[in-house]
Amino acid sequence: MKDQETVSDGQMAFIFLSFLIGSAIVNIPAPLINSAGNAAWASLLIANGLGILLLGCILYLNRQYKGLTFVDYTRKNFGKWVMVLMLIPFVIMLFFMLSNIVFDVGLFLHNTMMRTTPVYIFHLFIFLVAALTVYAGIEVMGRMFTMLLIFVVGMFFLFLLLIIPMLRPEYLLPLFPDGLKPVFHGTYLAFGFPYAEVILFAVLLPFARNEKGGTLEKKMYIAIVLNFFLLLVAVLVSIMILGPTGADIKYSLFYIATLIDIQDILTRLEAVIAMSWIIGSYMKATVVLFVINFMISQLLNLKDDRILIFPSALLAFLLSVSNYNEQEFVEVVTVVWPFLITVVGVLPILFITFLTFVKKKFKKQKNQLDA
Amino acid sequence: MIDKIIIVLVLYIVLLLFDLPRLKKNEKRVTYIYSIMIVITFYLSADFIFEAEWPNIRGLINVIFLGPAELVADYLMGK
Repeated sequence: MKDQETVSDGQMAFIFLSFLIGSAIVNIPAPLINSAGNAAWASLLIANGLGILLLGCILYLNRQYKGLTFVDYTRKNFGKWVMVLMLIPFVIMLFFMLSNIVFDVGLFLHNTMMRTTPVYIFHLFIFLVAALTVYAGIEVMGRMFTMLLIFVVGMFFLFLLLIIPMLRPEYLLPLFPDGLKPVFHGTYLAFGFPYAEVILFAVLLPFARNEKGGTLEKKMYIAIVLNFFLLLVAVLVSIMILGPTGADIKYSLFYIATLIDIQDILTRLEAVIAMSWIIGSYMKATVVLFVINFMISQLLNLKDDRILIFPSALLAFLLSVSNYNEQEFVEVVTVVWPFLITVVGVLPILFITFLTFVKKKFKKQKNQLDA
Repeated sequence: MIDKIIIVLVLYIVLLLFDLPRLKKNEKRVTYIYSIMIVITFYLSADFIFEAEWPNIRGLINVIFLGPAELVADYLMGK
């Protein structure tokens, strides 16, 4: 990591927040309300709690293995071959994730705004910009995402201000009409997307300068809590405006934005919401592509860590445009993805954390006995 | 189909124009790895152009994970 670029702790937190908000702010409400009903907020709360625990694990690993990358400390713990066996499925999962993110935003644009444009055109441009951003490096990402995120969150708050008159708090009741199982199903969804995806930052955290006073940890925790509040507001707003029909409307925030009409002057704000979603998805896709490229370069011990950016982007682009239909995609995102990321991504991270913790404890005990 | 062929061709030309000079400067190992990735993209390109629905990593993931994932989701949905 000696010659790597670095970003400030604040910039890392901004990258983290933009990654977490990304497409989730528009995508999360509908499936969550569909599975947990009015208690969708409870599912989000539990999933966020699990996300915070996971973030705690990767921050702990980052603290314990200062100056080492995720690939380095996996190798250190398990040896070369186990590391390869563990991380190849991880990289495949990341390709799958990247193609899904871009497929999702392409599908949205194709279904809502530009029906006659072939979906691969959207994918192509998103991948092109994402690959160029990754090529520019993490410092550029850090600076750029800060501005873009301010725009996305600013637009979201403007949207909230304009829909206040439409809110109907009575839609929030009844809570838990079918017991707690739907809440756990919602948790399963919200954990898979976006909170389990926190694990990608195990790869990115070594790029933070880690200034004195533990500012990185503080800022990362603030980012995940802020993300929770933004998603919570998105879910509550969807319930309070759409009521029980919120579950059936796929892009609920986009639909709500179409309802805004202030004296016939301020209308068609959905285009701005769509814009901020495209930006969010682009930021998320960029982070994932960066992680893919960095992990492959580390796994193969490449000196030039930018040579594989464009072929990786091309591979993910082709994956995103080949044989996928909308129904299959929904099944993948709501059923397969949470399970896949838990098995391939979360469990190995938890295992490494446990191993590191035990090793450290034994070392401490041994030192005490020696003394 | 013609539009897809044109897009894929343009992508490969731009990719090679950009990366070829850098590949020449790199070690041979990098060229091999790069070539393997390009061969995989050939397969996916053909799948994309002919809409052949050939097997890819999505199919592999479904084979391994769909069954157990459905069990978990069905249990949580109370089915």
